[in-house]
Amino acid sequence: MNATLPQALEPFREELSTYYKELPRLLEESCEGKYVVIKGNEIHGIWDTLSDARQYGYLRFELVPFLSQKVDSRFLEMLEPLFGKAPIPQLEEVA
Amino acid sequence: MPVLRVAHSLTGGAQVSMLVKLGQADLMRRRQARMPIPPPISAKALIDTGAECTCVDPVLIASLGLPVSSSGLVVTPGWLTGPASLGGAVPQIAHEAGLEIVHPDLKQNLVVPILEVQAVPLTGFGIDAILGRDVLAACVIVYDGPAGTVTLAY
Repeated sequence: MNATLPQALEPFREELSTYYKELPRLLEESCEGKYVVIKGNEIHGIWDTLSDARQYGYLRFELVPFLSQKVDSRFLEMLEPLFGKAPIPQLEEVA
Repeated sequence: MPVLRVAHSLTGGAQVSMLVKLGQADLMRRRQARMPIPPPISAKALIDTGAECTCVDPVLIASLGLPVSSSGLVVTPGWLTGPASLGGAVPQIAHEAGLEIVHPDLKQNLVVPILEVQAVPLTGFGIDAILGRDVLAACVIVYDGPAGTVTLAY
């Protein structure tokens, strides 16, 4: 399979890579269905709605494009050909 | 509860008139930044309960300058390029938008202030947009085959 990003998503390659790396942890923390705001290699908050995520992103980054990505477990499989195997989240030790 | 009744046909399906416009967050940002605000664009949308998300032709998206919001998932039947278990879904560009489904009484339009729409070329099929389950989730749909009508209540 020859996986490629659509041309229009290329400027967000780093953000998508960050999303993919963080996705297992986000799913572990029951964030499925929520929205994360991502700029570069950093996640800038988790939001319940798209509206909240977009509003925060505009306040934080103004005219600079950012990603507001829905936490969706299906992206683990879909993005794997682009970014390799996702890291498994480290579980906290139970005392 | 507003009710919208449209005709459907075997070839064209059930279509509604729709306005595609800026998403609420983008609109607020542009107002605050005193940026130009493009007027909504009229579109013909196919009601499609088989579509997970609403799709809009890239020409309309470009005309409005809708900002990229995320990578979405689009499954294109018969075009298996992504993982088979996901039905061939591939990363797809998604934009922040707002929508209104037009009711003859404009005060009863179904207004969706903000949602993500996928950019999918559609004008070749004689439509500008596909109304997916993300919007239809707010509607009661009655598909009356013999009468040739589809009723949306919201």
